[in-house]
Amino acid sequence: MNWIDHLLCYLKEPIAIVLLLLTVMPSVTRADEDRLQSISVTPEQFTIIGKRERLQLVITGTAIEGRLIDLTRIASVNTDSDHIVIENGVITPKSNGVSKIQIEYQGHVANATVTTRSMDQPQAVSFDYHALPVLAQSGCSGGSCHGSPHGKAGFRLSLFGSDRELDRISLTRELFSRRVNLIEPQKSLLLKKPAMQIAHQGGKRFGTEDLQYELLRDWIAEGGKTIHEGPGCVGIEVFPPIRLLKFPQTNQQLSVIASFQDGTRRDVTHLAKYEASDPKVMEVDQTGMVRGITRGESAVIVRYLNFIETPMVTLVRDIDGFQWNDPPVANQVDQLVYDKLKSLQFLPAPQCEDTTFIRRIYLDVLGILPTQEEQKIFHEDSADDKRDRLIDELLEREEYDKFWAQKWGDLLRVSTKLISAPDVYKFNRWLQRCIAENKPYDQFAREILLATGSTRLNPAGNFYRSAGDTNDAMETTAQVFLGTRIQCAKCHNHPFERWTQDNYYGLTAFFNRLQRSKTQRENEILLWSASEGEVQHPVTNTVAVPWVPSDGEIEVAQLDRREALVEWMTSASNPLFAKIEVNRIWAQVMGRGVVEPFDDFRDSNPPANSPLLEYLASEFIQSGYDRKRLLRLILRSNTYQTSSNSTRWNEADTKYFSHYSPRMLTAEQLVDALGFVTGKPKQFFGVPVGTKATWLPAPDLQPHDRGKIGNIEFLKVFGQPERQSACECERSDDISLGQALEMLNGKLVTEMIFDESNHIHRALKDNVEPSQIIRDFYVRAFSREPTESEVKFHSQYIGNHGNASEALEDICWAVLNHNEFLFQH
Amino acid sequence: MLIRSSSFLLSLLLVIGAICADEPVSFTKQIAPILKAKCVPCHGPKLAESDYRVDTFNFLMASGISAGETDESDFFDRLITTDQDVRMPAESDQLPMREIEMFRKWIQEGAAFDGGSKDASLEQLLPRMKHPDPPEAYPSSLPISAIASDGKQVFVSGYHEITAWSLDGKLVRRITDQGQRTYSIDLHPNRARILSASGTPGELGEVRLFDLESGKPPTVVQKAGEVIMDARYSPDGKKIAIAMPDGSIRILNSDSFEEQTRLVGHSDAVVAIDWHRDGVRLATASRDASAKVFDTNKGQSIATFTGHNECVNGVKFLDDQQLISVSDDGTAQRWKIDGGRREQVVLSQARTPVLSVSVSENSFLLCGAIPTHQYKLGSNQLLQRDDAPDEWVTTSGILLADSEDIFLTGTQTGLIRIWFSDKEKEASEFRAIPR
Repeated sequence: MNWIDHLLCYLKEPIAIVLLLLTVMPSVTRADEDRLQSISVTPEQFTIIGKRERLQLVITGTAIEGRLIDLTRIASVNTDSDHIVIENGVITPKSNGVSKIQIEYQGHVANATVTTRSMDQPQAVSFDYHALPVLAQSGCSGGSCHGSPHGKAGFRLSLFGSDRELDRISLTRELFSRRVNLIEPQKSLLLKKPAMQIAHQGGKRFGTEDLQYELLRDWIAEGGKTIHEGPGCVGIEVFPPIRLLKFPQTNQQLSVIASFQDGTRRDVTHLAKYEASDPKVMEVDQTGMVRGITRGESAVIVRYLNFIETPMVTLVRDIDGFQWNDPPVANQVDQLVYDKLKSLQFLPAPQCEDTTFIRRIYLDVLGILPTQEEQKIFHEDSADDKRDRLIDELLEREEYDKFWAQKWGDLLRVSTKLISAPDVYKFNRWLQRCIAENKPYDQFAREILLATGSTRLNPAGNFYRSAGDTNDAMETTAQVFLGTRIQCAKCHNHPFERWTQDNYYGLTAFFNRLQRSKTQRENEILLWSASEGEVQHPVTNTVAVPWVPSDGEIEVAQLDRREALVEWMTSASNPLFAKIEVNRIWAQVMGRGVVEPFDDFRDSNPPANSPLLEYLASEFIQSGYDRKRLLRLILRSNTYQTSSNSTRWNEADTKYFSHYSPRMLTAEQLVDALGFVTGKPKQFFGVPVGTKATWLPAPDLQPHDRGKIGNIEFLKVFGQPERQSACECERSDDISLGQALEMLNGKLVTEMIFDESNHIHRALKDNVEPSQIIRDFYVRAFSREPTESEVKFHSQYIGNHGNASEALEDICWAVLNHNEFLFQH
Repeated sequence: MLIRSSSFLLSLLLVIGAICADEPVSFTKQIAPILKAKCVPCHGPKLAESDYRVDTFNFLMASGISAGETDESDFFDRLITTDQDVRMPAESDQLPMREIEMFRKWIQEGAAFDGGSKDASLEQLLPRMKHPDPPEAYPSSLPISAIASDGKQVFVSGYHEITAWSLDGKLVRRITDQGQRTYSIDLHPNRARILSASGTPGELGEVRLFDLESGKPPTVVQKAGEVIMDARYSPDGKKIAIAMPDGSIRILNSDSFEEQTRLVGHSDAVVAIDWHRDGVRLATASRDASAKVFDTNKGQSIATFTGHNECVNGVKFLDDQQLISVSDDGTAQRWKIDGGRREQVVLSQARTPVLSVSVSENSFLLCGAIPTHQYKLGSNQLLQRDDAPDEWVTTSGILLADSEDIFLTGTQTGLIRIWFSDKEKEASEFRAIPR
């Protein structure tokens, strides 16, 4: 790149910003161009009670073609009343009365009526409803600041104000009331720090003119009172709950209304905390104004007190020259993926080559690479449905059973550390059998979760040995079968989700009566349910009532409470159960879940394509939880079979499945591939000869020997999980220096390449032409023939080198370190 | 854009006019206060972000100031650049134009130093500050953070003052020109002088000395960038020990105020200290959740007590072998000095900080968010327990009537209570808030 290009590179962005400003600033005129059919205002009627309250209006225009446009800060809003003042759609009350508001835009009119009351009475700033939300909104009580368990710089707050007693002491008592100055309120540390009047590591959080400052200052001036008064808050409501925005009109004002026990409602738009689930797509400021950045979808996580709502915002843009090309649709999966792509103006990539397909499908379904024979048969087949038939064929092979049993071994934490070695084998065989039989998923879950009796006779019961106590059993169940990382809620309300500590213990109550008794036989545990035993909530000290996510607290008639949970879990009223599994399967073959991370379902982590997930789940349920059928549906789609080469029409997409995303082979796949390509498969400890890495029942069958790095360590370096956590995140996909070293001169790779009886050396002994050896090697490693120039390049290298054996080893090394080998694409 | 830059120019002109053109900018009077307030908290001894420190003149110069050349001074560029990622103070508004111009003028004039030592911390260089006057009558209550008595009057922490009260609760004297809040009050053994530790939270700490007879403005003995929590005369009155917010303890000569020894070992602010009557050993309590005993002659730590898990608020020697410490963790713990072994958890109540401990001839008193407890020395037997207050008892002390066991306590809302061990005598109370 010469210096002019370099300079241009820098210039591009400022220019873009200027252009953006130019397009945003006269947005009045842009909106003018959209002919509207009507405008509306929310709310149309509202009562503001108390002079500290205010009201955010949201004004919406409906364009001729039906699209909705936010006009909150554009439309003219007028009143002839003296009782209120209106600015930017925010109504500030002045005196008691009823005010009519007229909103006008492009000749369309909407009306609202606002009643103001109690303006002549003092309204104290509330510790619970004003001060603590301000601290949460300003980021003070966030998890990375003073809300972390040990606080910051000696000042500790509870996470988002979840523990008012702790906050009361920190704010008004600690260190002789260091943080509030009742004599000169504006000199309080609680104001000077966030307003950056004195240096604050956390930066400036608000200015002295801001509402946040005013509320905290008045709260201190009124004596820093912390008495809890008035009716409690029962929930919040966000408007709009869902919205599609199109560039350039990507602003959307939100409004948040809180409801209280006495039936009153207060606008808390200015007190709520906003966060975009995908900050690359949009940003949301403290006033609840959404501003789009790029095409995509994101939820806004809106928090007030411990209430969370997550309105969805989709942003679309007209791309110059974009033309939908009506790509062929193989099944409904494609239809739904393409609907989304079309709306966001991305083009799906074309189908991948047969050579790419066969390598991809083998790795995804069986975990291994296709042999030369298998490739030959497939390529010689000229029938249209040959890919479909290959998929069906692979799903019936035993490698499929073993490979997918290993995935479940990861989730259920099958390891000799937690259950004995003999039971590891037994449990693994049970899992393989379930996969082979294609056992319906609901039945599979039921057999695991409701396991009783001897773990020797019923290997599924080993689940309760890996998850060895009540909390662990609940957390693992929530993670694996409900897609919920609920651990946070053990000690405090979940920071991003509506999960509360009550919910945590409510779910735990289902598992509390399960008993694990040792028997006289070694390594045998007897599982049975006691008829009593309750969970104590650690904070309230009350008995936790069995509770499930959508239905709340439930009556349990069964003796074994787990039955009630599993009944609810697998019932039609809980689509989450199916969604978790279809998303997991989708992620396992697509490299990315529709919900990602794929075991982290929550409102604040919305699916990239909701209709797709709904469809997959409903198909799955209707098929009687048939996993093979679901896999077939996904694998047969064009979406699965797209090329991994991106084009200018889809390179910006990383989450809507417009093209296949290449990913590195897993640790086990890689070891098997290395063994297959070189012809020297790795032998493992404690399993029959010929057992592949992708079939290993547990990662720790071989006793761990720190002194001997190089053997099984290879798997660890490449991210094999230790199976200590039920989280998918335990399998690391980080690229590390250790991996490069292992591939360049690690023991495993070196031995395979130098072995006298490997493919290369045997072929040389059999006097096979070096160019043929290279061809064979390419077909095994890349599932394709080398190009003529590649053959020529390598042949030249061998010729120049003089020693064919050494030269071939070098080439072998180079091929194994090539991305085309290391990656699935 | 045009409008913005012209208003910028206008304000610049106004600012330049405001800074007197003739008088050179003083580092100690004009530059140091800005550095201290705006820069040192992130670029000082406690936290040196990106390895930059500006808490002494020499550090500041090394951070990128080229005397006489603002264009060559990276430091100055950081103040004025429009790149928000680079501009200092980070994550904040630009410094006011007046302050930026002050820096420009000072650098252009040659970045002169007009203080004592170029390695002295900024607060040492700042000129003595006259504190604002306290309000005539306080508009609200104030937690008592320090209390002391010579047996006739009770000295109480006020707002920018120390107030003196007769034992029956009459305001008899107001000692002004004090730091915003006073955290300790100690009388010289001859009872003629008052030593106080004070400060403004987040900004300034001072130790001041006031002569009760002359009534002259107090002398500043020590300064720090954060409030100083305790300062105590040695039993013979010849030394002063100061608990510093940087975790050290400074031992000064009480006449010359020269530092004799610096005791180090705590990893966070020291909040309370206690001299042993031998005049050598010093017990310390710190926010680092430990207590220590130092040998002040050798300048070394003798023992460390690590049984608390939150800030240790108070520490007192009980006799030759034992000491007691109280903490935010809701416990009071008794220790053997030799070996630092715990003898007993005297009191333990979760989530109720124990804030203060006082020891007299025959007994000791514990107070805080807990009911106030009085124990007999030696036997550690509970003598009395006061369940009455529903507010925190924030501090305690003893009435220096040599042979009697009379304790003083002060509360969150300014209530002073005089306690007699003799249960026959009525405790007396008054509110030490000027009204």
